[in-house]
Amino acid sequence: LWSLLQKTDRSTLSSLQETIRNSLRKDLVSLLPSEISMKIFGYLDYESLLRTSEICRSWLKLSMESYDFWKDLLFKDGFIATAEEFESEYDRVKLLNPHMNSCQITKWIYRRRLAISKRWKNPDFQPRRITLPGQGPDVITCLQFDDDKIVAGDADHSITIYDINTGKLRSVLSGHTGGVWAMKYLGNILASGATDRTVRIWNMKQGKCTHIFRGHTSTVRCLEILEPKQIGVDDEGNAIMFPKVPLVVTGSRDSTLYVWRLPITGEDEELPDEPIELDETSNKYLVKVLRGHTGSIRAVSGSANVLVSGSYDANARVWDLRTGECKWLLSGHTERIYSCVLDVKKNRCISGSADNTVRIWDLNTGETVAILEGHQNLVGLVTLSENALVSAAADSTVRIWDPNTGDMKHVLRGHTSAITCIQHNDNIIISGSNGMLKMWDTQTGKFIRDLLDDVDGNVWQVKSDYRRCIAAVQKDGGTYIEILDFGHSDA
Amino acid sequence: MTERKIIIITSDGDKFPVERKVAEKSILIKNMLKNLLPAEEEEEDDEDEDEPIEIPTQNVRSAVMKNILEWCDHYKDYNFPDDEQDDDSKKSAPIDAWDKNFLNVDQEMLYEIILAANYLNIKPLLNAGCKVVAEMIRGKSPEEIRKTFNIVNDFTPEEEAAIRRENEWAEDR
Repeated sequence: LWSLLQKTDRSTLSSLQETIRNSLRKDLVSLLPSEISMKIFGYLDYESLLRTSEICRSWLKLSMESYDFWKDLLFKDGFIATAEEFESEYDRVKLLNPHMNSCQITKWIYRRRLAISKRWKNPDFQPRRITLPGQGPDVITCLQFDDDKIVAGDADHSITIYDINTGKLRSVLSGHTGGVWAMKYLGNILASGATDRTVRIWNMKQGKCTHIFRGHTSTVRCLEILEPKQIGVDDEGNAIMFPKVPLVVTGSRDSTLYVWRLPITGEDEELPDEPIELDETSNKYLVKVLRGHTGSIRAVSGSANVLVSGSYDANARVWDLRTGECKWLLSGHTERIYSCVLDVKKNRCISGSADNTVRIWDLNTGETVAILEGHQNLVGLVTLSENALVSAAADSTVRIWDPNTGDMKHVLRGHTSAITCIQHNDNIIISGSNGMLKMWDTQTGKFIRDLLDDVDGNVWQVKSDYRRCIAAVQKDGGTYIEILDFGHSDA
Repeated sequence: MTERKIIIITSDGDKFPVERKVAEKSILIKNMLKNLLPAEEEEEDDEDEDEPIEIPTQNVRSAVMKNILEWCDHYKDYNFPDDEQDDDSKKSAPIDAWDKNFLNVDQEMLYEIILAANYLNIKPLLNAGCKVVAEMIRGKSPEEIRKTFNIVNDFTPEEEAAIRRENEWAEDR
């Protein structure tokens, strides 16, 4: 064969080469060990991944072998952010479609999330809107929701719970004797803090206050709930969890943070009519008091054993909740800190301040990683997603930064007054200011649409998940809660 | 102090002398060397110091090994980050331009390089190979994909139509 080739002329060789190359074409995907073929499929986008099922039987089989393809894409394409969210959606869909296998379920979730995300970005799509009748003219200070309910705390002492699907008022939690300024819930249990200096624990299902914690000597301004998370493994390979039980941390104008165990009561547990009142000395739920700040504590963010607090003393502090010690004093801002967020993955935190800057801090060293400059006025809000850091300021702009380097990527202009609330994920940003609720594309920084066009007062709060945007707004002299549902038709 | 010579022997009996840091791009070989050369040569004038270490690789033939070693040599001074957390950002990273050019070979060779990278445990090369195959699939129609990989469509027309229907959702924008 070799001597034959040597005698052949160049042009024949050239066409021969083409033939050889073609005859070397082979079905790499089917011939490689399946774990390698799976790896190859794992590099595909959703459209190409779907295509693989249309090629031949062996490819079809491979494409259905693992649910990881679709699960990974859900995270990669920013449709799901946390493992918890994935699991709860997976369980929900499995319950509705018991005949589906795990691959079909994750594919189904992907398909639905993709469709909904396209609606968010389509300015012509009209989400289903429900406007909840106002509960008076008060400021809504905090808002949280899930697939079942919306919970709103207001400056007029009460916390109101609505059914998210019908918009009906479910219950009003009253008891605080001052404006509620901080609130969060975990499952059925809600913790709140108010200007009356107390922390209250509520059983939402029964609409009852179960505990009143005293100790703070001034307004409770911010609050965080920490759920048990794995923080390591012991010598025998068992998971080490922290905290052991859920904790609630409250930050106050009195410059202290209180760490409490969250008292949990069952949905149907028989509860006393009156809440249990506990002062600092007798409270078995009180774990620690964190002292060090010399000014009002305005923001708190935490996960597992790490807690970050931002204060009007211009410092942020990092606490290790296992010991209650202050691990780092993050010093550098020259004015009050209004917002802080913990970046668990990178072990960093980000703070926004009245000195017009945002800072990224390294929690391994306590050093500043980057100072983000550009805002012309107080930076009141910072939020973080996988691939975007977003800040909003009193200068009426929203800015998008690279969370790794701190480089500014986009300035979002369009608001005409201070930004009052913000929410974002890797796909969209929603921002509110007086009279406006706007939506932007996180990747390009482009304006997508106005979400509400009939607000004439403040937009107090905005929260969203993959399908709904919930906003607390002021119009016609009253306060209303608006539900915009982009996932309604196929729920 | 001179380093002991390392010789890789291919399945078809060819011998490739290599630098240690080149050979160690293969985690398989690196672990073998760790066992063969305990505690780095600490001036012990071992009698067999000049003896080269021979490493047989049963599954890789000479023509493929030549390519693999070219790749290892190119990256000999580069430390790849620990590949444990194959995270999402890395997954979407494009193929390195040098790798892309390096892997521009016929499919038989690509197949063997991927298998060898897998066997020798050279993760970055395996990843690059998989990405190259993924690129051959991405954005193509089923017919184009079949042609690329010389695949016969073994679906019945009914089956094919059913799968198409099930995948239609990707097209409505």
